[in-house]
Amino acid sequence: MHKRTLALLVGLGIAGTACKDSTSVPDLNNISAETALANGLTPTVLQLLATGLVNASRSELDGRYLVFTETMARDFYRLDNAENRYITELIGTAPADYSAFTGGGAFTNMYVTVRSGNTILNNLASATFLSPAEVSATKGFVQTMKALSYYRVLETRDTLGIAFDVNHPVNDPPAQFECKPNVLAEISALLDSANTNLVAAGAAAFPFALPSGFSGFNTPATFAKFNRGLKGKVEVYRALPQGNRTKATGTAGFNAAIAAINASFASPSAPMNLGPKYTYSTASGDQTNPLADANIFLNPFVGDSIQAGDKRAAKIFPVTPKTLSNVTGRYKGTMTDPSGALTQPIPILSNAELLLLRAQAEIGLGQFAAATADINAVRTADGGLTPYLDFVDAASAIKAVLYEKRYSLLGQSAQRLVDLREYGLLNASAGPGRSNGDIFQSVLPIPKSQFDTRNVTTITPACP
Amino acid sequence: MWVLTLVLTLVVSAEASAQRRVTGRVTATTGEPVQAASVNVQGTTIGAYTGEDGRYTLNNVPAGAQVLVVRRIGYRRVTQPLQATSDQLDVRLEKDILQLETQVITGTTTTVSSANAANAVAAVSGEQLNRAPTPTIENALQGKVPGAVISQNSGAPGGGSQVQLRGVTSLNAASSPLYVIDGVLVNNSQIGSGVNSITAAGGGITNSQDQPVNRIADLNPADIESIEVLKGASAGAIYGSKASNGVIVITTRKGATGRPQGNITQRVGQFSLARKLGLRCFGSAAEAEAALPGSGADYTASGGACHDFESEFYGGNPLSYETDLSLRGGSGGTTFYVGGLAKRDNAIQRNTYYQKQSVTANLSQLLGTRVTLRSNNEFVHSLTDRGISGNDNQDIVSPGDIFSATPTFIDLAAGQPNPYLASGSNPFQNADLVKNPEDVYRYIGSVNTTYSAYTSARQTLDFTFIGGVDAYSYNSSLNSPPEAYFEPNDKLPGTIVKNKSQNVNANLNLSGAHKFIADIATATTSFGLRQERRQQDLIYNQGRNVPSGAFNVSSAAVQQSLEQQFLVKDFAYFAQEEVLALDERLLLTGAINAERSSVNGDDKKFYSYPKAAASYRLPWLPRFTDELKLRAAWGRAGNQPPYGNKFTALITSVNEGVLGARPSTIVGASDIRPEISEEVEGGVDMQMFGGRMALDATVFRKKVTDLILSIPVATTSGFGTKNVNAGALQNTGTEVGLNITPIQTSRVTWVSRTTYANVDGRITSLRDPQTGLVQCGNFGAFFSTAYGAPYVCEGYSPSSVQARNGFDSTFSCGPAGTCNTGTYIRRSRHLSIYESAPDFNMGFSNEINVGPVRLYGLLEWRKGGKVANLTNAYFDLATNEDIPTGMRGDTAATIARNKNFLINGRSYLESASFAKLREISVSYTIPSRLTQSVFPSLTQDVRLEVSGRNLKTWTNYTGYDPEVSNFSNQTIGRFQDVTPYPPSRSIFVSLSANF
Repeated sequence: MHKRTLALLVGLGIAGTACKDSTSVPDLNNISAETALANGLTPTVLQLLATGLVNASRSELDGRYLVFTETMARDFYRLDNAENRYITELIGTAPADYSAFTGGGAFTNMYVTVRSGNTILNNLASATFLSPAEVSATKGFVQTMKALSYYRVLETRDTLGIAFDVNHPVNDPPAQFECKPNVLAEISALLDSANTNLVAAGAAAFPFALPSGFSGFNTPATFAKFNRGLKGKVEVYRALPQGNRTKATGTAGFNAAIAAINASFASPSAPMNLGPKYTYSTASGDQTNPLADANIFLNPFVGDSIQAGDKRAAKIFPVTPKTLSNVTGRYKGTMTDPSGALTQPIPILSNAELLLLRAQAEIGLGQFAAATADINAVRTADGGLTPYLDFVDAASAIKAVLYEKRYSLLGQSAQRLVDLREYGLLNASAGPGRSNGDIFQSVLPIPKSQFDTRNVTTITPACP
Repeated sequence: MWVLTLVLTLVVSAEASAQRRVTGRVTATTGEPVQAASVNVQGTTIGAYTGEDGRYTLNNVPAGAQVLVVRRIGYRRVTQPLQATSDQLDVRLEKDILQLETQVITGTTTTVSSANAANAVAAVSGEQLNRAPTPTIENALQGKVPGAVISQNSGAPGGGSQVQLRGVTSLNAASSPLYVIDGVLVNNSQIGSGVNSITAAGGGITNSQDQPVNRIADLNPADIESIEVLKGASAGAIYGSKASNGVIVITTRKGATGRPQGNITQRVGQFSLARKLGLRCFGSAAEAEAALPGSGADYTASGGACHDFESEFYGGNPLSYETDLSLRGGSGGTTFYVGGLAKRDNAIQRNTYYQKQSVTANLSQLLGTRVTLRSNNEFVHSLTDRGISGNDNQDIVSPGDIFSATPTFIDLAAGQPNPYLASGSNPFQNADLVKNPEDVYRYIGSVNTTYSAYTSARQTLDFTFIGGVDAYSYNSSLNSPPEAYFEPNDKLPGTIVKNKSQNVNANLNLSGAHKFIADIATATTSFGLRQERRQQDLIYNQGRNVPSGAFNVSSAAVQQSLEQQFLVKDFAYFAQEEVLALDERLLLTGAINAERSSVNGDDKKFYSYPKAAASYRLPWLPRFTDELKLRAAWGRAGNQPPYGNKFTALITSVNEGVLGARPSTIVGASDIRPEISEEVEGGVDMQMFGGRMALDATVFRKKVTDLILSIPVATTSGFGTKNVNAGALQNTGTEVGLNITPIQTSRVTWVSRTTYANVDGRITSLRDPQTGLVQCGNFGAFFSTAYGAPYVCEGYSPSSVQARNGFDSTFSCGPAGTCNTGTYIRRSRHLSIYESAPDFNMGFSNEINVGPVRLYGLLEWRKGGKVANLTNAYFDLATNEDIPTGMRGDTAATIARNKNFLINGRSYLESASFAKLREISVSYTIPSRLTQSVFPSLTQDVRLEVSGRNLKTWTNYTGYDPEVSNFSNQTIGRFQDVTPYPPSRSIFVSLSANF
């Protein structure tokens, strides 16, 4: 009897040890960062991360970046029965709630892109298969994409400041917020460094393929033209009058902007929509255009105030009015109508925008004839309208430039919010809002999570 | 160590020599024989069961005076002396009306009498569970277990409930207790149907807002013999890293030797809308025009109609039915239980239903004298269509959301496109066209072999091997055809989502139990090992832009797929020692479980979970007291890291067919380890007035350390959260149960049970281990403070809500109403912290039997807590805030909420206190002479019963039901009401016959 029992006990012990089979289970749902980068950057991994960077950048254009800023700039209304905060918190008396929704918008996505870019840069040393020229090309591409992301966060936060020095391990203390002039200077310097790298790449090709939206800008030499255009856009923002900047800084900034735009792909004779674009598709795993949304209406002012004969009226069509939260939408735009917009590309930076930015710089410098020429280039080509005679004062030139920007660049970026804010025009002249307490909010708040993770109640941007 | 103890005890086995044979008969006080009662010689392993005639025979009873212990579930235990000269003893058993005598499970194979139990273990019998027909077992437990807060997430048919034992024990790890059925660790996962593809409540094909059912709902409550609820680590330590949220141990019905006994129960009933919001009727075209510009003409055209959408949409459903059949019996070493169920609940929302069929066969076979082979098998099929409800964002498809935007003078029931939504969405048409059946086939089975390796008068050694499997396939098929008015809105008309998923839990359990009975004490040593494997593979296929009449994803123009899977391998050793000493007055228990799991950062490391407990039945009793027991228990349990927690992923995406990847915003923890929950509890159990009153009171303190957290990191880093073990929380609470029998005569009995429980939780530490910074935030349970957001912070309760509380009064907006950069948004918002969990829970149950009539009722009262009522925010949605524009009947309240909201007021956070009449039933046992005159072969009783569930709710809450949770089961943040499926009440008539 005891023997049998002991035999069972022994058996039990053996069973116990026998069960010590493989104890680990890999990640069955995702490829892991450690595994993918275990051997450093290979051509496949570099392509993977480069496409990932473009996709991250494309993901920045969600409803929060585009719809929030275009609502604040009096271009859009998103009338959603399930969500009235698109109106009440953006143009209503309830300010954008920093804890959720409106407050959290257009912030984290941009830093995810920056992290994507930094992942490439941090691992670039391991990419032994790249020639020095290809390393430069890769650096120049990534830096330019990062600069675009920083710029977009700054557009929405302006003088509240943003964080710039973010390439640190996750366990390091959170990055400090820096003031607007500092960040603009840093973005500008980043773009210059990127340009230096792109130029250094010479005739080399990018060691990765870019989506078709970048065709014409998919070599270091041609991508540098996009880089210069972006530099011009940043310099115009830097030089615009807001923020008690002296006229002298403005002058230098506007000149820098014009120089950069002149080195870009801007050309009065080129198609107005020339420029890199994000492309969209309904193919499996791909992304559709984030603006394709039946709830987006145009601010009635957009439909009502378009000039007779403007060809861009084709983008605007009247619909059955809808009222919600004291606003009424009467028009929609083709850029948001799902029937066409679902796979419609969104320009990142277009020839029209560059010409109008140059016009803004020229107005700032008092070069009205040059400014009028640039405005007219867009006005005649895009709008099919009769050209203006040369402007003689800044106010009417600015008004004209804003008109062209509104109709040529509708729903493409936060540019109109930036312009209205910097020109001090974010008021009733920008377009009507709510019938019951119309508020002009110039920025989105710093998300609450930024205060929570820094354990502070206020964030004062550092401005050395 | 246990091996040594075992060997020693085996060696010292000394056998008594002089022996005799004792026989007798066990009867109830009413005179009828009691079968299957156990008769034991105290202090020995000698025992026998009574036969159908109540007779027993004990062989080898030692010489000299002995004491016999007679036990039978449903009767009170009797200890009776046996004279040295006697070989005959008859015993009479008294009914155990308050169910004071049960066996409490303490290990895989070991039990202890509840009289000695050292933990506050709540036991609920099958009879108590099935007082009123319930959709799922969680519903059946509501209000019956002190310390368990059981909340139904919505009124949708087929289940979806959360059981929370002794408060919040985790923030980012599992929230569900462990369910163990006959030794099989079963799956309580929840799988979304992919309805998010049309509601767009969140991102992706599927989302936690899909209103998924947690799959314990598949069990048939009628198959359950008893449920024991181990509320925390001090009781459940042997279940190791899955016991932190408590363990619910379910024992299914088994056969018994004797004449086969059967039961057939037929139930017919109906569900109806339990509460209404009350929709607005418009009095004039002008009123309509003011509320909704342009609607005056529609009002006039309707002739001033007022359609009660709630009655039209949530009413007029057909009858529901349920048939239960069971048969148990056994002879010659074989026993069996066979159960069957067929039911269909036709739920209140048009075309939603829940149907279930189950077959259970539990067999037991004695092989020779030493081996018992048992096999338990339950096969379930359930099919449910829960329709569309809850949150939505894109095309407005949730009925509540549609009603919130549609004036009642529109005849939605006519099925025409809704002119008040751009999408034209009409819930009546949606309910007729959009189908979302969820089909589950599930098998839960086990083979249990017990081998009595050694038996002597003073010792037994048994080995048990349990192999169990819980496998289910879940198939959902959402079909939203292009004809649905809302479908063409996204220019991709028609949506099909198929989900095929396989889920398998398998576990092997090998254990031994050695019992040594000495004169001073009985020692039970158990030991063993457990191996477990859990895997799931979910595959979603989504098709959009689908031709009319299509049922196949591949016919869609735009196709997407999503796969989610996990595989977890666990292995554990356990050992337990129980010593029952001092004339069965003192119980000492010590146990340890050492476990490793593939989800831990170090998958080879064993983590240990010890426990220790003691109870003592006082020998000196105050007046009127029959029993007084003091008990204390301490133990540790864990909560496993969620699968994948240790990995940092690259997230892939596609652009023109080229694959891209970027680092995930979630930073994995390669060193992640289980949460540790350490619990101490102490209590008193008392029986008074000859078993007419029983009181148990428990206090506990549960400390959870090494919390598994997704700590938010400053997103400026490009990361969102990082997984870490950090922080601690503590729950303290009290649980009291009072059972009394105020009346107990031969004709009338009245049994009253009252339970009370409270729990106070506090996060004692919550710091980023790297930066040392205190972490405060929503920990992934995202919501806006405008309505009420989960708030997790050191020093606060884990179930806190943070909500607005007005603006800074000194603020002014600046010149000309222009709020330029910064100034406006820096306007200080006052935020306050509230508590979402109830202050206390009470259950009151009363059962009165008068002859053949039984009256029973159960009331549950929850005091305190908060719900964020977003449904009201939807209904209040204003075209103009100053005039009555909302769609709820009470327009004055709407205006007040709207105005208050605009000044940063807390308009939508409401008190969640309620009292619900959970169950009520009246039954009548038809006298057997009447039934026999119709069916001469019927030997037993026939019972007629009318029962109701959730018939009445008393609450100040203005939404449908304060129990609601929009995001289904969650550790924290389950207090959001977003146009849910409304709650229902049900009334059933049942006819039940035993034969």
